Amino acid sequence: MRRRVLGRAAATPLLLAALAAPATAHVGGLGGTGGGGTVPTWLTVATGGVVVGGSFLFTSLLTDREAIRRVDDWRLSLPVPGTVRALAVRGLRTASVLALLAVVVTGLVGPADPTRNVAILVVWVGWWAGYTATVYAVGPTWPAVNPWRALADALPRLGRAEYPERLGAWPAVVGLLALVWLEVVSPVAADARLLVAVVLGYTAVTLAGAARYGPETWFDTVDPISRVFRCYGRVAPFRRTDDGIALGLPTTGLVDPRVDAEPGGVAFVVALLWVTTYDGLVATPAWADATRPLVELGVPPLLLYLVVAVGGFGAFYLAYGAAADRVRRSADSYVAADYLRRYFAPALLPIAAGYHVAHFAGYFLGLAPALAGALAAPLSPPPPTFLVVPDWFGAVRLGFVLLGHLFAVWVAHALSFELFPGVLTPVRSQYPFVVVMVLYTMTSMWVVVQPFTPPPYV
Amino acid sequence: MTRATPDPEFDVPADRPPAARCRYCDRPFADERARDLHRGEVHPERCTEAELEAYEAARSAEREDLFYFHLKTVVALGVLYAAMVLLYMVALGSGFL
Repeated sequence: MRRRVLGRAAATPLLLAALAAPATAHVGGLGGTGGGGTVPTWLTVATGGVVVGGSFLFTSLLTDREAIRRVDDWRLSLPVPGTVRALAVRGLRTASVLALLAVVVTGLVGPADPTRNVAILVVWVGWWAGYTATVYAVGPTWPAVNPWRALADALPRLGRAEYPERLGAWPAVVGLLALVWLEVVSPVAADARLLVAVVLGYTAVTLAGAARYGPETWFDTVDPISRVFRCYGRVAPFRRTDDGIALGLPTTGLVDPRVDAEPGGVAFVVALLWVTTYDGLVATPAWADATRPLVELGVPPLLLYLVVAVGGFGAFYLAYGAAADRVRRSADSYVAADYLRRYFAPALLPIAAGYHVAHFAGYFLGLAPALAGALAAPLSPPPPTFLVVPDWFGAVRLGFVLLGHLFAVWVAHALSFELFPGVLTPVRSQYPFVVVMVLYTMTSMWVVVQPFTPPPYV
Repeated sequence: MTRATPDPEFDVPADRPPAARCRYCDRPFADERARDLHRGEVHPERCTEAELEAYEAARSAEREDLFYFHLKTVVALGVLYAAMVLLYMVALGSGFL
């Protein structure tokens, strides 16, 4: 989703300058032309793998179960009186419904230039890039903010259909893949009218679903967007408790030995990881080179994008499943493979968050001044201004990818110490995951250092 | 603070029968040492004297293995570190790569 606004807004020379400069600088990888030369891409990629592998080795030195628990259990409780919470939720929901309305109105009457259109900027820059980052970096605020939830709660329920339990999270998996595919193949990130159509379509489906199955079931199970934020929110240091808020160390909320038995729950976490990778992958030169001959052979481009979206998800799902199955052997344990998959799935979430911030940070910072300008005068926005992200920012993005993986190593380490006896077995149990994580880090690093290339044929 | 404990499901293949089971929770194990460790860690208040002794014995046996494991880990970390430094020196300094 990144940069599509920018890609489409090629008419704005300043914008191109702002983007193209860091993009070409990334060709050489981590960069820095001083001294001997630039770091070649293969070395950047290899470094990522070594850092994650090395951090596993380092973590394996920490085998004091009580110390691990002390880190994970550290928290500060901040009680919030129920009335304050109720008032805050009501205020936030009113504001978010108004914001939704404003997006629809400005999308229809605002300027066509996406970098001046409030709807485009608020949805993609403010919400999908910026707000999402606050969910994993600060706390799970979406249930309080969700405008569709506010609308659904206000509407009467139509019928009392039972949601088929066996479907579990699978409709949300399909919904997430479909939304991201739509974003990649259509100009929804740059065409405000189309964006409004998608928002209205999503609103209609969501409200109908919530009215049929009840808001609780709909937003907890089916709605892909609520699930995305619930997953990201589990990474955050602030957590909701029964009597208020608690602050813990980042990602330690994921070290929870209670396993979610819902069908498709693991698939959704994997899909979340995959969609950001997919979004980055289709904007690489390698993707453009690989698709051209296929499309010339007569493969419909939209189908190609869809097949890769679904196939890549399938490959990620199988790779994670295979690694979890192998944990049975590396830990010499009888714990069921399916249980292992569910048990360790939360460890993937910091990776998804780290990759999200790597993917969107430059996009957000680059367009934040345009967003501020458009918000100040929504109906007649001034010519947009952009922040030129400096070259060294590429290294910061790589750092976020690594940081996500480092947190994941910790979460999986801590979880394994709760599940397996002794201290050597938990450490050994992690070998298959470490192999998969090293490979995934290297893939992500490679995608992140590629120069941005607009996805062809869409 | 009470912490949640995992409640795993098990899958025991017919061709790999467990060497031991926990008599408190029936969890299967591939060897007795793992079972002894589990008993002392998860059911310390229910263990008999003999079981606590077996736990201590398993722990000290594991500690010895852990020492060698950590030795290997530290060597591997050192080798990785040195290899990366050399790789960067060659890649950035010589123009070879």
